[in-house]
Amino acid sequence: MQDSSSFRFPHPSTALPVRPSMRYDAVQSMKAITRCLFLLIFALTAVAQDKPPAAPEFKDLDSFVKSLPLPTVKPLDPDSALLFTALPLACVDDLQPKPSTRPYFWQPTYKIVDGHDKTRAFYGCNDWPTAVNAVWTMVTLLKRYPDLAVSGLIREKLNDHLGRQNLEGELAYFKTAGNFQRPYGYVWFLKLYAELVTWTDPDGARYAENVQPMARYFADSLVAYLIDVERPNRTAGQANSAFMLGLLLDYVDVTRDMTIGRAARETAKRIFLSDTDCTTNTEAASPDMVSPCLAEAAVMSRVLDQTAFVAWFDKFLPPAHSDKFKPLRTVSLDAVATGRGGRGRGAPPDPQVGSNAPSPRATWAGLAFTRAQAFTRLAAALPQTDERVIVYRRLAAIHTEIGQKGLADPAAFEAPWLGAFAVSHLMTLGTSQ
Amino acid sequence: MIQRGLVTFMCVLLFSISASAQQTNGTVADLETFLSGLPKSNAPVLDQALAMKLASMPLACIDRPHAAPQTRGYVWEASYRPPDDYQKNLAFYGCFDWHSSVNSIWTLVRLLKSHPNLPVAPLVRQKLGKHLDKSNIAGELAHLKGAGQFERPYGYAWILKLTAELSEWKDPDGQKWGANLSQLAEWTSKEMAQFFTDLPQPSRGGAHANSAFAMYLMLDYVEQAKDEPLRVAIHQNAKRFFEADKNCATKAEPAGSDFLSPCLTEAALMGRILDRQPFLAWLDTFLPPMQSADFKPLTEPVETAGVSRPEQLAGKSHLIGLTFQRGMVMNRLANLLPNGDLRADVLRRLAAVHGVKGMQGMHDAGYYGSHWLGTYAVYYMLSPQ
Repeated sequence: MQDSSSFRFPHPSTALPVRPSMRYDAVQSMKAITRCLFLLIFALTAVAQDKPPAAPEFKDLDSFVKSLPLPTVKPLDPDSALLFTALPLACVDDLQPKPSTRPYFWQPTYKIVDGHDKTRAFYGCNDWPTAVNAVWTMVTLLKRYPDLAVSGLIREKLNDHLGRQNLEGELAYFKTAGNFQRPYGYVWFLKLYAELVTWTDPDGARYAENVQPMARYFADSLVAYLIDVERPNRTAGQANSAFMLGLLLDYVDVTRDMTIGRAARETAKRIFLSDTDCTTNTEAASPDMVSPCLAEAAVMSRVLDQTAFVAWFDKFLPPAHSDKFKPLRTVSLDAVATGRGGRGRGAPPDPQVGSNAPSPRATWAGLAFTRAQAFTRLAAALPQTDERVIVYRRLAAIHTEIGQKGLADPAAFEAPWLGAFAVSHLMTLGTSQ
Repeated sequence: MIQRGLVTFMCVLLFSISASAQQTNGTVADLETFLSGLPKSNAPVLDQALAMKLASMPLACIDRPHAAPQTRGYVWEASYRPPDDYQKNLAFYGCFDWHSSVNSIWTLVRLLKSHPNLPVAPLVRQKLGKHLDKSNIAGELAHLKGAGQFERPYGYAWILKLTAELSEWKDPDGQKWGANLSQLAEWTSKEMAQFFTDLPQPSRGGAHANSAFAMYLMLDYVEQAKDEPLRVAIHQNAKRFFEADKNCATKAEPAGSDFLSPCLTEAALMGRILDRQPFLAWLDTFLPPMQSADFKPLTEPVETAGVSRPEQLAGKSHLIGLTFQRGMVMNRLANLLPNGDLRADVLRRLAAVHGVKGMQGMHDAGYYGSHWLGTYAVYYMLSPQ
């Protein structure tokens, strides 16, 4: 039985919802009286000011901002860039693990694909999308910092992995691989292509040429895929539709690929435009790398014009000082892991999942970076006089700081993708020499 | 009680006055209007012909091995072969995947119980005898013990439901097969009690991992088998997961390949966990008013007629199965409401609409649908209406 004193209507802007069972609900009389009076008072106040009474933690945006810490964000510089190259260098040739699950029926016999280092490009770093974003990280950092101490080694690795024959083998495999890596791996590959095609460097031009046929194939395939998307995936992982569309728009922004740009924008509007009142109470409920609410808001800020976006956004995300926003305020690197599918708190890794199990600390840090990136975008998308701009900037900085703390954790070295997420965000903040 | 009724009456009166002054969309009259606007479909009835059709679906799949992995492997290339003597060592190797195989067997048992004179009854018994033999079940248990998270919790829930169905069946074959399953069921029950106790957060998606639906299925077993430790684990953890929930995100339903309604399932589960009064109070803050726009996504079955490309058929089959699952939990919810509650009428009418739609889609997704939709149709029709 809920306590009537804490009762609040969920949607302040809509008319009074009726609680149908009130007619039959044989509640104890005292409770009923209390509730009845409360509803009456509520109805009257609602008529008077169209706003529910509430005792929130913060009375307004101002008091909320004043409560926030002042974080320290370290811009990307040559030293941190050097560290960020270590993860990809150490993993691109580390073969993805042999599947270790014990099958129920079809018994597999495994062998490594013949000549894998010549007919495949992204066979390291635990899984395919991570192998791709590891290469993306190296290319991005080398473009920004051509004189990195490891630049020669990076070029050697890029040569080995982005050769014509490697990419031809990849494309041949993908043409028979159904939905494998679609869409998440595909969009990372397109992001890599965007970096290569805008790199004024003889090696870069050659890699771009080698990568181009597969980029074309993926782009066409994604257009067909997007047309079919009827409902968004709203989970907090790789499958999240909004997050994927954001990565895809990164590619579109650089390459001006209008066909897929249009498909991405139309898809985002089709699946998200009617959304209101994002469900925030399941945010960060388990360690995963995407905030469904923020990823959706960020992508909508890129597909709607400012006026339309502000109108949509006002109805979508609760005010930052409201209690509903609380799960989006911060990320704790120490939050309890779900243990994937029911293992207990602090339990050792599931032997069935083995070393593939993501470290929750690294995953929380990844969430901090993707949130920081989304907050940054939201702050940039709103009119600069909007009072929310300063709040989102601060929240972006807070999340960046948390992500950077996470990078210093040993868990980060087991999660090469985290480096790519960090670089992806930090590059948009500006870098220093 | 007069006093209580008076208070309630006054409350409704005052409330209606303030509500009508504001032209709200949430008055009692609106629920009535909403109800009168709903189509009156005749819920499908499980007659002999339909029972034959629904029995033939599992008969056609329980010996067709699970789908072989489609991809050859990206860097680790795999070649596959069936395990040796699987017809003697395994029971649930058919019907596309493991849980579908278990629930197809359940469907055969359930239909044999409701329609003992089914013309195919001898064939059904023959098949059940082969699959539920001692050595087959022993092989299953040996596999599960080393299989980690495989089929937890959804497939495990079906094992328990199958066991309950067999052990309450007054039939010599049924008793024998129930005994063959008892060791597996005991182990499964213990594992599931631990599973929910260890689970920090419920899984709220609309597919296999959904915690509420697994619990819901297992309650069918718990009620029959009087399995006290599992009952306690489910009750405690359901309260831990769901008692504080409010304002279920009905607007987000369904996701593209949901086969269950997270909001309705959680509501129906809590109706089986909480006492009636606390449940009714909880329900009022959990589900939006049925005549409201927020509830609308749950009032209409998803139209899947335009979905036809091979790679979309699995998801399509889920949306077809969703109609039966919604119908089933809607009927259950209706039964949990007090007599005269208009919401019960709304739910029963919506359940019938969903059931009819599901029957029409039974073969619209090929084998992706036929290997499991029969189970959901039977579960829907033979659940309390």
